[in-house]
Amino acid sequence: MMSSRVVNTVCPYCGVGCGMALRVCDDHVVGVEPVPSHPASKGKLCIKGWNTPFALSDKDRIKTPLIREGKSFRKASWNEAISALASKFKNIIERNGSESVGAISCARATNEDNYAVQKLVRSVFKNNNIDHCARICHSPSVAGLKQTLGSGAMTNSIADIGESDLIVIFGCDPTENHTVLGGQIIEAHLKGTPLIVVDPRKTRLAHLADLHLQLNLGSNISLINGVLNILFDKDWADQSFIGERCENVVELQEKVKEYPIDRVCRDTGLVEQQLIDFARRYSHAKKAFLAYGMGITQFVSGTNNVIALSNLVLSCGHIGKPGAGINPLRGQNNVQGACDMGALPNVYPGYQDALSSEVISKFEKVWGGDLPVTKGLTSIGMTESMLLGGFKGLIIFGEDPVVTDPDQNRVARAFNQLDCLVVVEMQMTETAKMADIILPACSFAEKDGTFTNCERRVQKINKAIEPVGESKPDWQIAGLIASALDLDNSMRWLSVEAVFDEMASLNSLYSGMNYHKLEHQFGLQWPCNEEHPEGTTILHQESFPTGKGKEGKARFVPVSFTEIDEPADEQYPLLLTTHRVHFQYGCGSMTRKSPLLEREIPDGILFMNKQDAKHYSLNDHDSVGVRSRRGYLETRVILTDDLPVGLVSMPYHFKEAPSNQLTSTAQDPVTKMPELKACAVSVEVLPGGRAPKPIQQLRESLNL
Amino acid sequence: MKANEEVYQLSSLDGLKRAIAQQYTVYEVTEDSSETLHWSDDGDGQSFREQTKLPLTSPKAWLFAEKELLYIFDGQRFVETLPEASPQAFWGVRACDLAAIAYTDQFFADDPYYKQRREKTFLVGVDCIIPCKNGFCSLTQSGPFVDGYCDLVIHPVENGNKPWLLRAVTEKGQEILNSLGLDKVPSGWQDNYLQAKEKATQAMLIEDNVRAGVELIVHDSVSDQTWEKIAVQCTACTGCTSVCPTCSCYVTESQPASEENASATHVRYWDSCLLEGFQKEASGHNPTAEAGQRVKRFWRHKFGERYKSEMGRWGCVGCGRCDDVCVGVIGARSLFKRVSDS
Repeated sequence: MMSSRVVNTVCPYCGVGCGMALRVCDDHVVGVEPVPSHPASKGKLCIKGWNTPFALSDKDRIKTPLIREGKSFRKASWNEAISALASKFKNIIERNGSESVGAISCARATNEDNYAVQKLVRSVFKNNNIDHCARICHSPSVAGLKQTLGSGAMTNSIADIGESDLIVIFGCDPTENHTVLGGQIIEAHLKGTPLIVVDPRKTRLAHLADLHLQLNLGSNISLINGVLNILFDKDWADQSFIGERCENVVELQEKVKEYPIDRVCRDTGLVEQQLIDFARRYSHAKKAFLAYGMGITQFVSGTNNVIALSNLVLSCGHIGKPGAGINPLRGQNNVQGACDMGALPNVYPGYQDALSSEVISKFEKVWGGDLPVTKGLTSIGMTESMLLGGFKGLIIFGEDPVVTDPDQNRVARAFNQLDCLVVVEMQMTETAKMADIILPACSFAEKDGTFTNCERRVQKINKAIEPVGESKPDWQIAGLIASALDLDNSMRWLSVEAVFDEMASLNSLYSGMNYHKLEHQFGLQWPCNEEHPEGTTILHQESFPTGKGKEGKARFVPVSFTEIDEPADEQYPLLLTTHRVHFQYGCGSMTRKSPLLEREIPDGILFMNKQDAKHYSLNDHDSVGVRSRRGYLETRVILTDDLPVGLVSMPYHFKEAPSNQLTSTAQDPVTKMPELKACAVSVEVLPGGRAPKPIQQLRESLNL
Repeated sequence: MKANEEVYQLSSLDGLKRAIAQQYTVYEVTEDSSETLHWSDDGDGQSFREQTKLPLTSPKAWLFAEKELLYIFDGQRFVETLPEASPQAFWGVRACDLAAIAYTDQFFADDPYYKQRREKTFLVGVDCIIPCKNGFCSLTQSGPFVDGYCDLVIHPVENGNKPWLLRAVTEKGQEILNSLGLDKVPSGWQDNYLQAKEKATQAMLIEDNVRAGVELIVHDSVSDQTWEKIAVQCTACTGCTSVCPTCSCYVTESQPASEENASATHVRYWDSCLLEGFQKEASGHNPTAEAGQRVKRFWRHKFGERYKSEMGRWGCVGCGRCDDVCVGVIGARSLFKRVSDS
């Protein structure tokens, strides 16, 4: 007799955090269902969500620890693998010092997992070398909004989409990346809410929008400063809001005078009417909901782009009230949580300054021992340090930088310099293939814990099936590593709930939460503490957390337009931008297990404008080589009218034609965010029309 | 209910459920902590009288499994692998879902995998005396009252205290009733029954533009441009085809032998015609490359004459579940209104 039951949990893919029910039969997930009463997803799932059972299958799952033996791996017991890891790391630390090791945490693992990993690094490795993929995603949001508003998270809630009278989509593609949320935007628009899209690509929402500003790649600040200039010039800004709740407007007004309409039109490629239309609509709306994504952050001016947007939102008072806000759409199911948990080199859980003696002292009291006083490395910094020879040992939890970090050839060269690379994974990713030791990790369906979605909603996830093979949750793995390196460690939690409770006691954003409270509603939105015992749906309603107490004001910070680092030139005449597709996720380690999602992949992934194709004598589906200063790959070209002339695009999910062969590591000085959204490439048709070769084959012949 | 069939009455349904449970695992509509209704063999069920919500899914997955092993190749021979089906009873299936099972029974009439499960299945239907929120079954002639297609039918009489009416449709159903020694219902029940049916049908809100939209689709009078425009909103989430009780498309996949599995396997999974890759050919040609073509196909398969004459009814049973799950807000009612207003 087969027994069948349904376990409620949360989707492991994007930052919407849809309610998801797993149908379990004989310890296998056989089906998935949406959750009708869920506040974020309202009974929907996207194609990735509906394909979850494939992602959870045993197929190709790493079931035991693996230790490298020459070019392949052999199975090992947990004891052997952890001992090997500990002895290697001890040697490295002895020879090269405690700053020579670190960890990358997983933005898709739970809050408990992330809390444990940063504690491992700080209390056992004794350094601050902890980071995760937010570095190359929303680190500019965290840094930029911290400066202007005091807090880097989505200010409103997903439900505010339905409350607004104007929706602005700035540099993101919600119907591809946050599909269920994108559907709510479509629904609001159908009910009459006007929609503005700012994007160099004609996305699905751009096709539906009332106004599409198809600006030149990377010209965001010029556009925003130009619009601000119009707002101040025509007295359309919300002066009473500015007077009551903001500081520094005069400096901003001075700066934006440098952006008159003709200059902005030159920088952006837009026309005057569009700028004025945007300025009028945004300032005259009563509550405008502005959402943004990688089209703002993944630039050398990423932090400044975020600050500019913040200036715009503040100038019209669209913040601290329903239907409004500045809303960075956090990409992953728990990247908000990973940041909240301090899996970042510069902050502890709750964004407490890692170098503040007060904070260090507070954590030393609870964790015991001494905590580091030195600055930590970001993930990009670790890569650089590997190439220079200083950084020698790395544990990567559930990330695939060889596919997802910029300039993948450089990443691979860097990893080759490590004395010990440990990868904690479910599947044999490209990064795992380079490891010395692999430790098997549990999927989201095999453990309890919490995820924090993009609207700061902390939700409980529930174990539906037993861990596959000998896999363990990350927090337990971190605990085993801690015990092997330090007998006095305080990471021997008896339950996952104990991890959450310890974290909540040290983190004022989460201090009012516990599992019991989280289980009885669909989670709670932080801050949730004594002041806000039932959580907070909308931030900044009374004050901004920029200063002490209730008088906190938001800050206008004037910023200047900077060009992208690598414009097109004679040798590399096209600009490349990167994006996502709705039917794959990240490096594809989970989504590519579904035959339906695999079948959706087009036979080529370089998208090009038809005019450009004509100019380069390319026909639809021709095999092409794509080259940048960093590398080379082959694929087929797909012609489209959705891109402007001079701009080509590639999704980044496909390890056989990885866009990160080509992307640039030019960095935002504040956050080290690489300029993934803009680099220069050349495209040539492959001789004889031969089929494109996957990168794995090209590497051998080109010694990449 | 037909006049010359025995109709019984019961003051409590517990004895009936126990009798069925002696031979079958009984699946009931059960509410979980998120207020969602699922088919569960571990629940205490819901009172039929107050129930105005459909379970999230029909029993489809228990007949046409999401994943089905079709055959293996052990290195020497191909061996068909029929599923290990255990006796399963579905307690309280609504008219729409029963009409859908009758439809898939036809589609899978020669499918040994479906038949293996179907033969072990006992269906207890229940009339909807209060229509559900999204349903439009009177329009698709698949409700609100059960018209057969099951083993037993329960009719809930309004006003709590009245006994339930019960009749058998099949021999299997009659056997269960015989084992219980039930009272026949006194004559005159037909009037109340027909009144209740009329009342439930009238209470179902079906707007003019919903009816008009269906008509346009039936007569293939929707332009390709309109389909294209609507389809911009289709994100190919596959929610509709997953929850639709009559959807039956599947894709097969071969998997080679591995360390863990000495045989190569051939498996089928639910597929979705809304996916761009659904009809893509090996050459790269795709007859339904445009989203508008795919959305049109879905609705023409539900309402087109060709399929209606083959199957004896429309493919749509008016359950309204596609409206609940559609990310792009183009599920049944939304779509019919859009088509009518265009």
